[in-house]
Amino acid sequence: MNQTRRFYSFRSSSTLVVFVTLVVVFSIFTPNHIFINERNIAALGKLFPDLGIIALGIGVLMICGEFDLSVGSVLPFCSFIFAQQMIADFSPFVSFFVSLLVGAILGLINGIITVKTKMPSFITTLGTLMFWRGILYVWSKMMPMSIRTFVPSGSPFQKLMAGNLNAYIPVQVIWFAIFAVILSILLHFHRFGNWIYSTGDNRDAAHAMGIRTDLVKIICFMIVGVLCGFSACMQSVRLGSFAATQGVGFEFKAISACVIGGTSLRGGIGSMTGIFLGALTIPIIDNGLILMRVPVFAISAFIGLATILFVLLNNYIERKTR
Amino acid sequence: MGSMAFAQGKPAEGLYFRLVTHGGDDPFWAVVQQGALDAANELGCKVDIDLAGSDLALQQKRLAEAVAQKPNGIALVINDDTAWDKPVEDALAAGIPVIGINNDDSKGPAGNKRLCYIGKSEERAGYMIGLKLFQTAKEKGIDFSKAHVAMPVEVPGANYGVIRSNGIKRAMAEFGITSSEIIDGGGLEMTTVEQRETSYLLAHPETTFSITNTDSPPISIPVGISLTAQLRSI
Repeated sequence: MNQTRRFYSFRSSSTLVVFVTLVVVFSIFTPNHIFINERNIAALGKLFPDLGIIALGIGVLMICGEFDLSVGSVLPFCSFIFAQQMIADFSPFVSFFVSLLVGAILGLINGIITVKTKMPSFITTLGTLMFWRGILYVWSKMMPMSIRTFVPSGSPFQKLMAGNLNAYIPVQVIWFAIFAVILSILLHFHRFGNWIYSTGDNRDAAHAMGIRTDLVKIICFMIVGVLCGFSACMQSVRLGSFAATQGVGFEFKAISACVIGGTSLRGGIGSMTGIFLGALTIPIIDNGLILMRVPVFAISAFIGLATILFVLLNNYIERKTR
Repeated sequence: MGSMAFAQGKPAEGLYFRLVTHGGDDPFWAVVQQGALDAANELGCKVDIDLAGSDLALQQKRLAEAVAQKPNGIALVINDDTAWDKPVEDALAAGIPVIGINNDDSKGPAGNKRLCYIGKSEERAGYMIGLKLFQTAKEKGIDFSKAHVAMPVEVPGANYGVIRSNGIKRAMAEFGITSSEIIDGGGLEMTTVEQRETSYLLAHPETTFSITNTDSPPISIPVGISLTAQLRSI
């Protein structure tokens, strides 16, 4: 009984239980158990990290007590910069670092506006979501750009960003795991992680303890920006193209993933394990339901329902274990 | 001086036109806008394009705003069979010529009073795509008795998608194909589209043909290439 109570005292435990349940249900009930077919796992592994990597950063920021809705625009903006650099004859590696730098700068801008003006980050980043998308549309004229000639299939950069480790493990999964481990160490085994939790839980108290809360928040915004830059390059290389519609809707999907993973909307609560599982859960629900031949038009309804149920479940478990 | 004289000689000098579309983030409209600007430049007139992000109410507002500016003509995407009947009549009554482009009323001139329509017939477009695809498949010896046609649409419920699907179904009937499904392709975000279509194809191995109902080749082509490569590799 005590062990059960101890297990549920971990906030991500409910996410783990539901995640395992989903995997078991989909594995058993999908026709010919296609959910655990290596072809399906490989396809999932190639596609979900685009959003998953961004969700990891959003989770850290939410623990710090802030939101970033601008990811839906920062991603295509970085993708555009990446494509532009290569068209201007820079190597893919140089273009990649420029894209990360631009992501960091856009995160820095979000952070500075939020902490200096005391404006809620929901408003700041809603503004920058629209602002950067508008700038992108004017600058790119919404015209797609092919980058396949600069990053041909089989080239070192293509293999690094969108290749396969072996026949069934795409490198995108490895990148997702690497970022999850790095952020997990940062969040749970480093002093900076304590600062993030303290800032998100009670900013005034954290400030009184000598934590530079403004700087902590700005760095968290920059982490999200850098991850957007990385995801932008990864997605563009896979598709061989830049399109102005990249990232549309990612902002709410990333927040949903974090909420499903047990991250509090009020800050100060959450874990990398939960965010990791949350980032996996949304694509699994989407994939599993389609494989179970649920009408595709109903998928959004199920994901919306799942988000609400996860929050209710987390609240229930929290009350019970208190 | 010489160039001014040339500019004054352009056939549409001093005229002003509006292009009212349902489009939004879609790269398709970026290409159309560029074409409109090139044409305006060539003919010496001015043109502005209105985008509405598939929001019918907003598109109606954009048309009303365009009419209020009293342009010399309006090109309108007629993406609904009833919503545009009165606004078009009102604009014509105000002396502004309105033509349909890209999408038309499914009943043509009998359904909407627009002066003319420039663009494809959606039903015929679907029919011709289906015809060509099924004919090629027949030549390759594909068995139609158990064939299944998947039709992912970028905007669920959009008039043009429904009408185009009807054309595809007409072609299916000619080849004796009875199984088909219209599916939500997931919008215009490429990873979502790819994820949806990959899952669907894995869940429906009986799918013989997939005809994506989109106006956005800039999105569907990279996704299609990636999807094909992925399905081949896995």
